[in-house]
Parts: sequence; structure tokens; C-alpha cells
Amino acid sequence: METTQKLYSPADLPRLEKKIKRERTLIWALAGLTLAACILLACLTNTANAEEMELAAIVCSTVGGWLVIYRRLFGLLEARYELQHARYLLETPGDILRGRLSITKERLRIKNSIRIRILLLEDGEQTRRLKVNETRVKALRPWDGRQVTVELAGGYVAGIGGADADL
Amino acid sequence: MRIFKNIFSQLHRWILWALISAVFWGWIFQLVTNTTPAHKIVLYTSVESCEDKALALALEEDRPEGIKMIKVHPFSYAMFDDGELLSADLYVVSAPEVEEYRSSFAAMEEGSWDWGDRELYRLDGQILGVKIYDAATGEGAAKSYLGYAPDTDYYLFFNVASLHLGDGDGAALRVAEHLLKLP
Repeated sequence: METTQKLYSPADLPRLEKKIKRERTLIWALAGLTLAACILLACLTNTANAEEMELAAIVCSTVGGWLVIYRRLFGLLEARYELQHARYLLETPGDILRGRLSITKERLRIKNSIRIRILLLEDGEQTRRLKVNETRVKALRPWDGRQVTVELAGGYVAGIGGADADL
Repeated sequence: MRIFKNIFSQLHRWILWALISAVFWGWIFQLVTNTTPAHKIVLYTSVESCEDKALALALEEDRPEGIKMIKVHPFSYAMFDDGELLSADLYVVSAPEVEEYRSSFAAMEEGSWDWGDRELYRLDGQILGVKIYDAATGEGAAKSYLGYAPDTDYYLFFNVASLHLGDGDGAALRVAEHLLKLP
């Protein structure tokens, strides 16, 4: 338990780049399939089925579009923000802070950036509010309520260890 | 749980996309299911009820050469404009409505097409239309598709501006003949 832990490593970058590529491919595939299905429905239209085909094309385009928007907002963009954030933290030199860590339930969404969780670090004199990437909160759970050493880069937690850890 | 949160946080986008999608594909299908006046015959019906799709299909079974589409346009209070109405080739209207559309009707020459032994609608010495439903006997053409008001006579007329009359390709006359033979 007393081991130190870096929340970001250079190995995260190719993984995130791969995820972005995968999301982009998925989005184009979904958009292409939706468009192809709608064009097919339009081509199969005749006097007898025109209204049904129009309705089917609208439903197909709406649902397909929703999937594309969802994957873009919560897949592609989030992966891009993650990548930017990971790059920023890996390039920014960190400060070392010590204190008792509390993970709050307070969540924030920074526009065009990652979702963050607020942490409190009490060192006997003051309580600092720190930010951490929401996706990395799980790694901090074992440290909740304990004396810790925190590496802080640009206001974000980048690493954590026991009270006497050398980060 | 997270997925529902995500969905609700972007509700405006889902609604906006659904609207864009409906308008866009509505417009595309408007284009797909239409053609130029030179290649279509439009029948406007002002009857109590109309099986427009079934009637169009029945009329398309014997489609005149050069005609790609036969459209049946029932009267609707929700019509946004009267463009389709004014550009129809054939009209089925009740006797009391004839005056309203009188200026759109073409005069017919006797023997120009086969209307059988049906009663003609004459005005100022001109033949304007033929009776398609007789309220006195209850007999009428295409009764399976057109719901006539039982106590009103209905007539079939041609639009004077139609491209498909005798001096054109005559396609509207052929469709009229077919319409009168439908059960």
C-alpha cells in the first residue's frame, strides 16, 4: 500500500491515440451505414410504400445520427481531451504536497476539457482543493482519508504515495 | 447510469437532430416521389374520403406512355398552398363546387375521348365535364376508392392548363377513361 503511484505515464499517449483512431473509424462507419441505409430506402420507394419508406428513413437517420453524436461527444472528444490532459501533465513539472487526502463527491466539467473531481488535502494549517481527472479517481480510493504525498502538476494530481514517499 | 446522465445532459442536441433529420428526409422524399409535370398526371379529388394511394396504384396499372407517375391529391384543409391544386390535370368535384373552380376547367370536344354514356356537364354551350357520381341512382366510378357524399352529384373535369389533353399527348384523357372504368 505504501508504494507510490504515477497517475500518468508516457505509455498512456499511444493508448489514447489508438482510442481516438478507433472512435473516429467507428463514427465514420456509423455515419456511412446510416446514409447508405437511408439512400437504399429512398431508392426502394414507390407509390405504394412512399410514406412508410419516408418514415423509415427519418427513423434510421435520426437514430443513426444520435449514435454518431453520442460517440463523438462521449467517445472521440473525451479521448481527445484525455490525450491533451495527459500530455500537459507529463510535460509540466510537478510540486510535492503532503497532507491528509479526502475524495469529495464534487464533480466539475471544464468546457472542452476533461471531467474532474475535487479532492481536499489538509496539512494541519490549511485545506487545499485539488483537482484530479475523474477517470483516475479509482486509483486514489485506497488513499482516501490517509496521510499522503501528492504530486501536483498545473493544479492537477499527477501522482500519489504514502506520507514519506519520494515522488 | 452514466449513459443516461450523458444522454440527458445533451437533450437539446437529440431533439435538434431529430428535427433536422425529419425536415431533410421529408424534403428528399418530396423530390424522390415527384417528377416534372410533363411526366405525371395529377388527379385532384374533392370528395368525402379518398383512398389516394390505392387509387394512384390502380390508375398506374394502365399508365399512358411517357407518364412516370400518377398522383392523387385529396382535398385537405391543411394544404399549405394551392400550387398542386392549380396544376392538377384532372378534377373530381361536387356539383356545388363547380363554380369555384370553373375558370380552371377545359372545354371538351365531343368524341375526343370515351366517356361512355355518362351525363355531361354543359355550360354556355360547352362540354366541361362528365358526371362521375350520380346521387339519384347512387352509381359512380371508382367507388372503391372515392367516398362520395350520397346526396351530391360529382363531376370529372380537365384542367385547361394541363399538358396532357388532346392537343398534348392525351395522357390525361386516357387516365380519365381508366378512372371511369374503375369499380
